Amino acid sequence: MTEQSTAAYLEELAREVRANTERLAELEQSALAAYLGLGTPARLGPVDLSPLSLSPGGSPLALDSGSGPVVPASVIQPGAVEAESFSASAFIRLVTNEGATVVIDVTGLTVTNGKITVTNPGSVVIIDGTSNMFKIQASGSSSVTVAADTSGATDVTLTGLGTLATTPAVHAHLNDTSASTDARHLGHWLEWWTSTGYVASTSGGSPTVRTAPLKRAFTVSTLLNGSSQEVVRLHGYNGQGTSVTVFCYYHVLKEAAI
Amino acid sequence: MLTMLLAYDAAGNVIATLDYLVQYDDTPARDPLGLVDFGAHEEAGGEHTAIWQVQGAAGSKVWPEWIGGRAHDFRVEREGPPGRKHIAALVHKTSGYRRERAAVEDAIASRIAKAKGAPADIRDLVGGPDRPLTLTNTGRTARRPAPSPATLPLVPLASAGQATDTAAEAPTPLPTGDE
Repeated sequence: MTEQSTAAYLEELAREVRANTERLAELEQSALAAYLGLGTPARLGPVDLSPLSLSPGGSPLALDSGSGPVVPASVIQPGAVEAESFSASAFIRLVTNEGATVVIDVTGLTVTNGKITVTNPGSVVIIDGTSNMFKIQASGSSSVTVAADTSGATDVTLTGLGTLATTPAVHAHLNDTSASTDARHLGHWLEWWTSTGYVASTSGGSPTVRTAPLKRAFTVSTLLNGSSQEVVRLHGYNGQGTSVTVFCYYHVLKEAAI
Repeated sequence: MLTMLLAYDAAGNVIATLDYLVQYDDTPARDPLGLVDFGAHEEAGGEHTAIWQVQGAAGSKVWPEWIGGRAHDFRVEREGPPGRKHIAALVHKTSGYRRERAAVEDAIASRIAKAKGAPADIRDLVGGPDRPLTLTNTGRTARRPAPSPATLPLVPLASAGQATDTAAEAPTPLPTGDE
């Protein structure tokens, strides 16, 4: 057989093989794959490459949908992307033709003119900057000890927050115990006499008007001092015959977009 | 390393705590810059009055654990040269139980050494700003209760995204009764 006829024979054989791959036995497929350097048949799954194409100008890979998102090579730092990992300093900018920008770099994830959507069973969370939430600026506790039949206060001035334009909201709960399992009262702690009291409706009158007398009343206030610094004030009155220490835990809040 | 800040009266009784404080920039939006490192501030000789001022307090120092409001059950013991004192122990006011700073810091260092450069999880040792250690009435660290019964059925978060294409699977409207 001449060299030319051999080539023609092999070409004809290749056409036959391509047209009738389903008729090849497993061993024949393995031998053919090995000869062609394609690995084992198990790794030769069908791969549809039709949506992928090299775009003009040398960009590495683009979805061939015309207006779809692209990853321009110019915004990926050389060496940032390797076979199995991204470099810690990887800088990736994904740009769509809608004007939105998503940047992932060492400072985090930045979305401009877009949103972050987290979908889990039962809920979809969208972070898009259109709604507000409370973030906590500071949290801590304070206490005040007040002698019988007197009032008292403890101010905690959070100088570290700087000067503020408006008084921030504060969430606080308090009680006369610091034990973990005891109740916390939201904002106010009031202790009442368990029996009903009576007062007069006029000065010097007969005490016939029923009332619920307080023994102790404590509350947490939020205010700005003369230097526009946030003050968390725990204060109250102790009408009981013994000293009392009241504890509060507070969160100073800041309204912020989410 | 982040720490909790304590304020104490002249007798050493803890009268206030500050778990954390965020510092903001000076823009109108007051964008956050980060958490104030109380420990680094103290180590550098800074005065904690730059962070907070507590009425009736005789002093303020950091403590390496977060123990929430139960800090008020303790008094502080300080040691060190004048002007450079730090809290060496918290002593429970009724039981006398001592929480030693050296023991806490040794446990942290041991955990970090075992991690061999990987991030060390020390939450069970020190708690955290939003997860204080649970203490008993005698001032000891209590075993944390399980968050919920382990037998309750769960939908794993990893299954998120499955069948959540709301556009493709819009719910069938309920009958209105007008038909």
